[in-house]
Amino acid sequence: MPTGDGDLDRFERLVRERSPFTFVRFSDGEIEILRNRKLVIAGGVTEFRGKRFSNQFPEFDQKRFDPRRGQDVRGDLLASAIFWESGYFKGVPTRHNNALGDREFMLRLNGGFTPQMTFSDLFLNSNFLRSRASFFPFLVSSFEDLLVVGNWRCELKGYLSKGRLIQIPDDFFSAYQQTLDSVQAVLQNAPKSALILSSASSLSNVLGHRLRISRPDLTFLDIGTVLNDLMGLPLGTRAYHKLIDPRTLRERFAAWRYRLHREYQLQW
Amino acid sequence: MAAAELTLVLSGHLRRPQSADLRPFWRGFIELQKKLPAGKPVRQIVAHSWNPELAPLAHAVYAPQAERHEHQACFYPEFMRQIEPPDRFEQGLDRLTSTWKNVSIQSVLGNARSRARAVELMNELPSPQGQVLITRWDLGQTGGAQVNQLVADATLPEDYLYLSYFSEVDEGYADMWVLAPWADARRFGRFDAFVLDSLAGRNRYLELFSGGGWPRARVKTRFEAWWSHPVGQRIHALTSKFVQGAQNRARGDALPQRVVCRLIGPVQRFLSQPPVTAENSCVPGFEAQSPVFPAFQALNIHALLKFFILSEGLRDRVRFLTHEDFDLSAQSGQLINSTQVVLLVHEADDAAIARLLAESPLPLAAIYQMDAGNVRQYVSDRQGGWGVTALRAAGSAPRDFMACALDAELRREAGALPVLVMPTVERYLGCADWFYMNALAKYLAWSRTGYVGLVGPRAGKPHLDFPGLQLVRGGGAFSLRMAAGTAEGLRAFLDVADPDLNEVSDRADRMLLEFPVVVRDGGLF
Repeated sequence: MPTGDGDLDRFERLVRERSPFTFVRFSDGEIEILRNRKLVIAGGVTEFRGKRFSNQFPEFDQKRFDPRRGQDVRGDLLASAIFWESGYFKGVPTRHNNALGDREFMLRLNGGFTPQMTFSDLFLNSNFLRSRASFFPFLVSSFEDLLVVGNWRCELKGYLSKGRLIQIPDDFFSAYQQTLDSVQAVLQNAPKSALILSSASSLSNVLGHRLRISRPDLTFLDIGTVLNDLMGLPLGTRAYHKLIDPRTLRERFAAWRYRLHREYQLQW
Repeated sequence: MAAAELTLVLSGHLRRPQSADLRPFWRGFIELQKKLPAGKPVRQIVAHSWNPELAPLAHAVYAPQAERHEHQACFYPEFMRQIEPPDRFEQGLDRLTSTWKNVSIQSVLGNARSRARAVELMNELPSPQGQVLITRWDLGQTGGAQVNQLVADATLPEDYLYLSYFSEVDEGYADMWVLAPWADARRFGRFDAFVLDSLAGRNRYLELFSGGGWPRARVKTRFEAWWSHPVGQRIHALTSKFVQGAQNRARGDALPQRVVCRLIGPVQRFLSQPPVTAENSCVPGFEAQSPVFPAFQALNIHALLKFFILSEGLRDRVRFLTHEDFDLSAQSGQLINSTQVVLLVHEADDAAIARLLAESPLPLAAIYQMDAGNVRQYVSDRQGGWGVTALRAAGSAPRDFMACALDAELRREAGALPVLVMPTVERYLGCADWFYMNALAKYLAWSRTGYVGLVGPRAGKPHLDFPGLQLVRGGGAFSLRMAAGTAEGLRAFLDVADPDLNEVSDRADRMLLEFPVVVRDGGLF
């Protein structure tokens, strides 16, 4: 049974053994696209599973999928979800996300459970602080070459500053093929055995899949918003960001409450 | 054939043995059209059936490029000396009460052989490539929705073998449909030989299924076994319906509604929990205790399909789908072998005819425009153009226009094509279900039914030859304003009709004459 700690340990072991691997994440947005349902996260409004509600996501988190026009993105995401290979790890929504139906759906697309299936929140929630404090510093220090795929606003800082940024535009869904082609062309020529950290929404899934086939020497991880501060992007857009260095009494209370939430602890 | 096109392989019984009911065949045709992906046209069809007497029907409906229809031989001599002990599949089976009471070696082998022969017909196709849908004539008509609903998504990668997923997948794979790459589909050409080998003990099928432990399967808990029992399933369905109803009523922000939603939430989550299977889920240590099934249960086409796929080394490429996985309503549906129809329109100006020519989903062989004091005939030149001829009617009443149009049609095509009579073009283009309409047009052409009413006033007796048709007396069952049929059949009524076509309908109503009529919720047009 996958566990948050166990799967993070496994990734550390692969890094130590110098075995290149890929980790792509299918969170609820990707699941909606795979299921061919309309998805809008833009302009402070979210349309999700046929419901509409407000959000406070920044502009670079915008995402739009219209089933009538977006079958190219969806086709690539499906290919990424269906593909299986021993070094290709897929993160999927699980029990703590209250998403058993989505978990089993992703397992079906994988042809059933395999050890390559793990949590979409592997670097988040109860693994968030460990990922930031030890996993990512260890990971980055283990590779000579680092490329980071992220929004054009990004500015690499701290231990990520040794890397090279590959920029993607806001709401790349509107220029999907063009963005994919240009980013893939750069990554295709990445130095041998380089590390690629990707914070590019659904584009990460497609890039991870394609590079696994064409450049199996690369280690590719979809990092989501885990290292936003080291990429010059704001923290505080996700619940788990509350765990970072809470200083005021209010922040500490928020972090404490978050730890008690049923979604905090990763559960398969 | 381009890779993004589909080959259809159909097999089985067009009509069940000992039955006169053709509706499952037609329903299967309608269901298939609805579920096929719009973005992946069917370019090649092969078909096998055990109903040679219905070969003309299969040909008229599907127009397969290769087909074979034959009487099902008695397979007893083939397997009598091969099954040991002879009562292997009767041990422990109560033929009177069990759900397995109708299963026989003859039926299992007949199913497998028809599929294998249909697949062998793929050799006769001109373009051996692309994705292949292997299915049955009665798609969607037997078994539960979990196993009989086709999930065909044009966007899915073509390199995999797609099967439907259900709670009993550990025991065997549902065989209603299989979507496969060409090379993998071809392997089903030896499926019948494999089935016979399995039942005769010439491979490890019987040993594993009823003895050594079935692979990729787990023993269900007592609760799961009860829940998957027909009684448990019934309770599950009823409870789900109740919870769904309560949830629909509790939509809103008022406190009582929120309280109801909060209370119902855990029940709904419990009811919607997906089944846990060794085939799909993470079940640590399931190999340690593999299930063993009773000997009679080995006569099981699902288990045989599973063992076939495992034995052929295809399991790595299998991906399971359910009909709830994707929201494909906007991307599903294509007409199969769409039928040419002749359309008579009572009221249509030139703009309406232009719209009709541009938008009709069914191909139109001829149009008769009965407006503006005359009749105009539009005949397709089959190259995208239309020849227009002004016809001279004997009078200026609707009856005279209609008679003129039908006479012209009988001279043109001798009444070979189905005829639709519509009040306006808008009404025709507003058809609620073109897949049903395509099937109905084929039924009319095949059965030569002279008249079918298109407005169902009320239910009558079910028609055994076509779904949605009822034999209805009175209540407006007869109308020459909106109807379908053959040119001869419709023309015959005009000899006894009044000029305005109203009194003849009233008379038919008062005499309570019985007519086949399309009766469906919301109407067809």
